[in-house]
Amino acid sequence: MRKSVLIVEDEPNIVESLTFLLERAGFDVLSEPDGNRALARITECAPDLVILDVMLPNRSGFDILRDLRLKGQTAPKVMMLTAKGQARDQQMAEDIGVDVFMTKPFANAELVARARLLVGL
Amino acid sequence: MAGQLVGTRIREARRKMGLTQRQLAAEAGVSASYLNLIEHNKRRIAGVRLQALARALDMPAAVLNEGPDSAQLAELRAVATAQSGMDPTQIEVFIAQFPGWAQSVAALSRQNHDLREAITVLSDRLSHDPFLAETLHSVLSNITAIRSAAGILSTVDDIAPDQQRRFVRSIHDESRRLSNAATALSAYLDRASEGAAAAATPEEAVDRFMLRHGYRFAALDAGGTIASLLADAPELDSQAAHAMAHDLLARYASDAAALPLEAFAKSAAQLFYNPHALGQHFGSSQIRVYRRLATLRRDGIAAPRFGLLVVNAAGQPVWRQPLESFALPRHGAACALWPIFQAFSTPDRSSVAALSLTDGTAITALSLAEQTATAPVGQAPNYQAAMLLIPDESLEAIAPWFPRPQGMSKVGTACAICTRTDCAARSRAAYLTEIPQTAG
Repeated sequence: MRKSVLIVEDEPNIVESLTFLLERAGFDVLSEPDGNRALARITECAPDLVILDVMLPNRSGFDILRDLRLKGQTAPKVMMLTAKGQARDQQMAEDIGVDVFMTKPFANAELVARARLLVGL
Repeated sequence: MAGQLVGTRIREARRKMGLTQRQLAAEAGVSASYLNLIEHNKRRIAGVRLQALARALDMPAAVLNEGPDSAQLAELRAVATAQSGMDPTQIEVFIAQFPGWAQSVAALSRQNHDLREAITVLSDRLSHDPFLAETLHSVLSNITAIRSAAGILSTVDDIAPDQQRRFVRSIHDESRRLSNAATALSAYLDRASEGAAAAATPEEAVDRFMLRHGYRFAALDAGGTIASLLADAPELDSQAAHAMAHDLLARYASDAAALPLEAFAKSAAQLFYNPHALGQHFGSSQIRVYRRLATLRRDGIAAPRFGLLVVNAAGQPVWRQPLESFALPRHGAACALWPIFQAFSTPDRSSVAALSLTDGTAITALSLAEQTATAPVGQAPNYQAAMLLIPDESLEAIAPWFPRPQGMSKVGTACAICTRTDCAARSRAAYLTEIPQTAG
């Protein structure tokens, strides 16, 4: 059974690569570039996995994750993908319920492997 | 102390000239046994005999008598205080016996201090410069896109031709952006190294403005306007910087109106610069008196030198007037061990502390927290805390009332540049953990 992933990322070239990689790995892929609309898209699409950038237009990935987890939901799984790779950023993300924290630039194979693992593919 | 060690300096000068005690004694017309007592500091020497020995040693008597200058003494005392197992009372002996080494140690200590100052400024910039943060984020995004697309092209064989073209175009576009970002970054760093970089933050712009005026505004003391000062402020290159400088000048003008310069200077000298006594005398808050004391010294007013930090309850600096020997971060993130932060737990109670920085700098601090204004019913009061920094050279002027603190508190400037690895108050790792630790 295919799994779905929503990529919340504002850099189109990164979205294009991620889409290509994840489709080949067995995901149905959606994307959203705007931080303000991300939460509504998650509710609407109910993806199995969200790949979430931190520095997004209008709303940070940290805020989106916090709102998502404040609703008491452990689903969907969230992989945070960020250029902000300091230990305190990772700690903050873990404190508010991230499942995987990866820094940019990432290795394609590792990202795909971790995404598949998160959703049991 | 200096007079007691004339003998040591005579002994070292004699040895340098290759003379025996007997030879020097004969040349100077004293007995060898008496010279022996002098050289071991068991007899005081002055006047004609000192002149005779100085002539025989071919050096001015004043050099033998006065010893090292006080600045060198203070520098080496700071080094000795910061190092465990060193006896500060032996400094003069060290200088007298090894003047070249003493000069080198003092120069290295100065260099160490200057480097730490530079690191403070740079770490401030790295943490808060919006241009650097944005450019580095952009660079990482470009690299991510290039690496991912290149990885796909090099590892996947069955890519549709149009998809392949899109990845190639993506690499091309991101490479161009990366090149632009790198060029901008390089130009920015070049300007910074030439000292011509624009202020990174409004706080830095305001600092430059305040520094140019030496934190003193004679025009406001004479009843001039804030507007005329702001009209000649090329450093204030943003609205935010302009607004922040306006607030500081308004505070200065308010202080000048409440504590007029001439009357304040006179009373301050009479009361030995005691903030508590001055506050009572003028019916003023003590933090206002701190600010006035910190800006009092100027041409025509021989007041002691002070530095000052005032922070709000969130630890954000609202007035910062550093000393050369004691840097103050612009954006909070100062050392949590500074007494200014402990002052919030005991409002209206002054405390004194002797602080020792990691580079050996020693400084005395007078700290106090007080309510900024009476809070309306039902609202929580606002507090500010202040730390008046008193360098050693200013202690004598306040000695009649100032209780000298016992012992030294080891503190830092900010965790990002602090080398005290075992500090319980550390909130983050240091940028440069390999800086040699000079503190004990």
